[in-house]
Amino acid sequence: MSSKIKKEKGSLSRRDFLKAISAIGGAAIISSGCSPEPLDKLVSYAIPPEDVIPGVPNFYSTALPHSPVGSSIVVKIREGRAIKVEGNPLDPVCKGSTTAETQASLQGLYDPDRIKQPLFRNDRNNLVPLTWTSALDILSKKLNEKPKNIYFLSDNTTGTLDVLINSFCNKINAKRIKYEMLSYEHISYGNYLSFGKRLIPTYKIDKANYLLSFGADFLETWLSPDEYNRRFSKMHSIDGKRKGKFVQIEPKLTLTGAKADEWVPAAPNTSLYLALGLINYIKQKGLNKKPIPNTFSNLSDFNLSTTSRITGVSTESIKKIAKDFAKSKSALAIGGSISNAGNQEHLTIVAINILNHITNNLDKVDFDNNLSLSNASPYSDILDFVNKAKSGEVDIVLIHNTNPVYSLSDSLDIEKAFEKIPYKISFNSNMDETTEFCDLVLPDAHPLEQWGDYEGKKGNRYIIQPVMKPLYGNLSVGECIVSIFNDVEPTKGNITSKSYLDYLKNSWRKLSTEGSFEDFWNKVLVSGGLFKEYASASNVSFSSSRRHSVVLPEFNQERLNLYITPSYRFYDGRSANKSWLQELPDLLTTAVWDSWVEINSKLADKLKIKEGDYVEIESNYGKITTQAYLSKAMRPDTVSISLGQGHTSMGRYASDRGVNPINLLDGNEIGQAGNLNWSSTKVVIRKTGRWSQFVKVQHSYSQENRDIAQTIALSKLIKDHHDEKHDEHHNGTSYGQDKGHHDEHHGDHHATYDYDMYKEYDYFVHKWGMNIDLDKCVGCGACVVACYAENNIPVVGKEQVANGRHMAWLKLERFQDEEDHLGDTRIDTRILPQMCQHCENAPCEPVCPVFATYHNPEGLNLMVYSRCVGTRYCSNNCSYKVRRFNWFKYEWPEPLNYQLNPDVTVRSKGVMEKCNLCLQRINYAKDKAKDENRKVRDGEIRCACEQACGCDAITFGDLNDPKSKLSKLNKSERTYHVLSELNTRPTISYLKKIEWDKG
Amino acid sequence: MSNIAEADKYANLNQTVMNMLNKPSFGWWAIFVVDLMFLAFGIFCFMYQVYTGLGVAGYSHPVLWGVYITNFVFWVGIAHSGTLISAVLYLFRARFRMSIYRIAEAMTVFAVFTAGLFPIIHLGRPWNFYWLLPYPNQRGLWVNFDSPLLWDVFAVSTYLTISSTFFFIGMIPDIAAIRDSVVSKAKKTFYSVLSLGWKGSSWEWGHYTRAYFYFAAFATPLVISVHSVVSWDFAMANTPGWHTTIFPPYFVAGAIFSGLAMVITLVIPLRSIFKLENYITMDNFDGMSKMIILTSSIVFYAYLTEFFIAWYSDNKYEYDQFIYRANGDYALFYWTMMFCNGIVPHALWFKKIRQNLKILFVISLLINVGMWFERFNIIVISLSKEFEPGSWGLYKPSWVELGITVGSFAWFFMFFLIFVRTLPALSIAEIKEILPVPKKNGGSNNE
Repeated sequence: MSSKIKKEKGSLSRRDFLKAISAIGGAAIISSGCSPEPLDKLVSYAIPPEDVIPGVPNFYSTALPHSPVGSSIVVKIREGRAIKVEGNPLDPVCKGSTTAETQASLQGLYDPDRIKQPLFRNDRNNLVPLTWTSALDILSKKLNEKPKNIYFLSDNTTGTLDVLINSFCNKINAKRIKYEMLSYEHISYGNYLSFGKRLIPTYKIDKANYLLSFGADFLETWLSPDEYNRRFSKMHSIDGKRKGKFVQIEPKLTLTGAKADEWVPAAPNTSLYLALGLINYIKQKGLNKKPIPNTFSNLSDFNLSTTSRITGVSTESIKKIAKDFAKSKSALAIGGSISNAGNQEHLTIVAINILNHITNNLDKVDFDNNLSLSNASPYSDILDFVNKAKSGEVDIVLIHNTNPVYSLSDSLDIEKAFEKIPYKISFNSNMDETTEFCDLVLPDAHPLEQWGDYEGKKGNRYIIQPVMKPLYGNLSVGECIVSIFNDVEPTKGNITSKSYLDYLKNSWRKLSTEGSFEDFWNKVLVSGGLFKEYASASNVSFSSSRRHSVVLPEFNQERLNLYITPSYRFYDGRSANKSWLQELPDLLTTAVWDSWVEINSKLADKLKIKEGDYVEIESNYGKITTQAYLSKAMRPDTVSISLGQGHTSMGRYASDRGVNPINLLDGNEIGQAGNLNWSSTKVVIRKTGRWSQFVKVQHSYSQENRDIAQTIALSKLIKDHHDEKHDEHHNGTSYGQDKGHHDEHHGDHHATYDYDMYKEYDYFVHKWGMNIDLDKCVGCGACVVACYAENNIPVVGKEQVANGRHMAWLKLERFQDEEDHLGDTRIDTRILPQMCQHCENAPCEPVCPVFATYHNPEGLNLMVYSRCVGTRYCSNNCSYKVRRFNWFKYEWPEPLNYQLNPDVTVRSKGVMEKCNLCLQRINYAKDKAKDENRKVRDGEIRCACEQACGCDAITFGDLNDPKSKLSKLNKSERTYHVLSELNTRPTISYLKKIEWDKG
Repeated sequence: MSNIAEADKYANLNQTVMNMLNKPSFGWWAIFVVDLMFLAFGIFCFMYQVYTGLGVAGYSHPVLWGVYITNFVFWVGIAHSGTLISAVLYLFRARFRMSIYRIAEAMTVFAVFTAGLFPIIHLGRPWNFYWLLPYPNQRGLWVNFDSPLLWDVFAVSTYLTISSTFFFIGMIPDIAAIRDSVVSKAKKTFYSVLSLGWKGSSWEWGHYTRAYFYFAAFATPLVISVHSVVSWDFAMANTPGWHTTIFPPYFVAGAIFSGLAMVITLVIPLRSIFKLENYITMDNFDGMSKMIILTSSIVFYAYLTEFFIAWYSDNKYEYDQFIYRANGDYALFYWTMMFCNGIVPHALWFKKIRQNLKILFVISLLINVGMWFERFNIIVISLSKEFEPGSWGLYKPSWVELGITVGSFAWFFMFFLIFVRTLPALSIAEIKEILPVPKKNGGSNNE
């Protein structure tokens, strides 16, 4: 290079000079880069690692090993930091979508309250930090002291880690308990009684035309919500004339129930009787396709009137459901939610299996793709452990990824039991309720920082690879065990692996079928695991020799039923320290940051309880106090509380917030399936006299006849479809199609053009737009959290939400209207994802005095944050009220700020912000297309919300391209624009929700 | 009244005005210090708000304008009657204006000073307020002339320029008179500079009266335009409850209405403190009271028209909005406004009430309260329930907003307190025009 400079010295241009300087500088940096310091902390810009180009993201496949089935994900890495989680499109379970909880896993990685190094309880009873080496020494020493009774408590660990822990437990002679708070023993036990298989199957609900759910909250937490979200979308969305019907039977409207075509409020704990009533009615009418097994000896007791009396469902409804179910070509009944898991919920599963059996629908119950959750220890095991601990029969307990002190009822006196255990070791990564009791804490690395694998469903082996260097250098539990494995006596059963990665590779070596292992391994790492979905389930047949006699229940009218629902935000409480999830409004109540008890509004009137009143809920075993939320959509004999809150520690966002309803239950009461009896507890509620504002995001329920979230009757759609076909046939041309096209343009766009004074915008290349299918959207909130993650949206906290300063760019609005249905009052729930509508005639644009909001040539309505002075006039003039103002300078406590997307400005105080249809993603795709000298492909750009959506409700695309998926969707007769009469001409369109005909 | 008394009035006028400019009493100082304390609190609130963020105000989505814009419109409204009384009534030769117009003009200027602060106080980033001005810059940034907020910038600044010029020009002969009577050197210099070398020659008077007439003619359209522009902040937006064509006349009438009430509120105590009964007579109050009846009726009619149109237009958003105003979360404020602005002023039909200054004072205060709530209702109630029911929410002002509001009154009164002690609060020259002149000079100046 230097010779070149010499040669051209006389004519050194500026460009050459800069080139030369950079080359010299680069050489200097490289030569100085050979330092003895190992590069193990940060990505160094001085010596760029091979695959890191500043400003260009890398994507790595990995997985999150959380129950119930884990999720395979692709993590976006920028400059060495994980900044976004997406679903792995190769995974047959999620197919590229994510749940809100998965999206928020980054906040687990960057949890500011994670334990940063091992801790050890000293003589003064304080937990003090120490190094990993000495911590592991202490651990192996402790285990070498030959303690008699060792217990290893973990969550439902699967895959290689499970094997490792098992062999370690064998070696040290420890008893292993795989404790899951939500373990669905009743489902596996019910299936054992029906088919001899103690397994939790996969229900292929997408194959059904008629889905009958006995309280299964499959869109929230039940078994595999991500997957059922997708399957439900397939089953329930319209495909030509076909549209599945979904009936939900539950005492309290859940998110899943809100999506039901028929929502049937039934008394809690009565699913069994209703199922038997249905079987009995099918039998009486002879609608069964197969003979009815005489499993239930007193089936004939459940005639219509008895069933109706017990369940509270009208006889008309029972008849209708039975007929619809039996007559449907392909129906499926499911059930067995945690909320219903009482003493005999396994019999409900048996009855449901019979329902499916006699109508020839067992082909949709797939035991091949069963859930590893089937292997979780039953609740009775943990109860046994607690009792042993109380009587001093436990010497050492090792705890990994489970929090029994929080998740077991206070009635068990678990704290006392823990105090009796001489030595307690925790591998939990946060200082939670259980870890606080422990003597040695070896904080686990986050799944995104460690090696591992996970098999949530049989056949789906996810690989877990570290996507970034451990934030605090913490070791994973697998690493800990491997490193002390051979130090612990006896020497028998020693392992040869030096590290957990070795151990993992060894176990995967067996799966490698052809070629070299390295090739196989790399392939697996790239794809995220080995995925296998059995195309057709091997048949199962109902074969039960046992006879059950069901006792008719006695009802205690004095006390109320307690219906505990797992939370789709916090699951069993493990995600409570994630601020995104705390601030994600619960869809139906729109409450944030707290617990509440849902009370029927008529009952509340009687008790003179109003929203926000603190009420005391008391059972025979415990008492909790929380705020009341009044709901029309629940039975007056029931109150409902959601799980997940009520932590006393675990971190700044989780602790001292809300209540844990598990404390109302009797921890000693187990059902016949070995499960905790979740549903038989009765409570009384009392007003305390204290009131405070109930913090929720949306205050109104009604649409006020404004047709914000619109519906269309299925019969009308099918009729039109038919007419169109008919026309087409009649004229011998594609008249019908033309007509549709014509209508779309003249009905929706052109007619309004006549009233415009101003010239239309020219969109020369692209005109971006979005379509949201209200029929598909289930309101799970994954899109909202994805938007938070992608766009650096600040979390403002409970107090500011109470002040109306919720910052979500994308908000799920729910509208509930009462309506009459078969004599019962039903609730018509509609969900509308509301974000900036990117109007062509945007009311916000002309009123900004400084052009801080403007219309770009691609149809986007954009904000120039740095120009905004904060007059807020744009928001006042926005008809959709989707703009958010930065009232303060919002902070991300270290290291939560590591997650911030470097492509998106972090807004400063005093400026307006709102959805920009993920402008950074549009630009990224456009740049890429330009580099590759092509046009942007349809479907190449996916907004964060769209990518997260499990039910394909959101479609982003180019309206200028008539062949794009979006343009095609917009031609649907279901298409409408919100508040179109204002002539704002939004580019966000919605597809109307399809309603089944009344009656 | 006898001629002797009238002659005394004429003779004593200069002295009366001079007396007002004497060394301030303890009472004045006490009031002034208390006023400054309130102002300091307001400034503290504003600084706290700038430092912490606009979140310390009570704004709550979707109500993103609140007390600050209410105050802005309120003070701009107050500013209106000054120009009305001095310019419009001058052109119409309404005599009852003579003795109060100086106070009204001072009130106008100070009210515009106050009003002008609020658009800045309410900004999310007030330190960038100058971005609203169309000044040439390297970055090629320009302002949006489509935005009513920009029209505000021009309307208010024009109004401030014209009204303060008009205020100053009107004072020149009086300042010269004071200059001639003061003794202390500092005062002499001060008034000499302000009097611009006024000698009182007939040549000067000739030019002066013509100039004054033209200024009056020039200022008159502003009475209509400024508040029309301010009303467009709302009328140009699509918000139900804002988007109506009735707003400009309704706002102008409202502004005059509130301005007159404010003049009465200020003049009644001033008249009694400085013993100005000879010059500010019951006729003045009578005239203003009648104007209040007129403007109140216009405003009240506008209130009813809004309801009628909301029903008649069959626009459900508009309809729901007005039902909500009368029957919703803010109904108390709405009915306060209706009572104060629509009902109370009609007591002034009775001469006995017009002549009773105590009652008149109370009525004027009620009108001020009512007019403040009128703006609050228009802004806050409309915003809290717009098109999208899913976004509805309520707004409650915070202590910071109330602190700044109190501070703004203190700011206004600070100027006013200084004004009555430094500048002629009565127009010596013009009052002399309407007083019968002592016989010696022969003839009368009266037209």
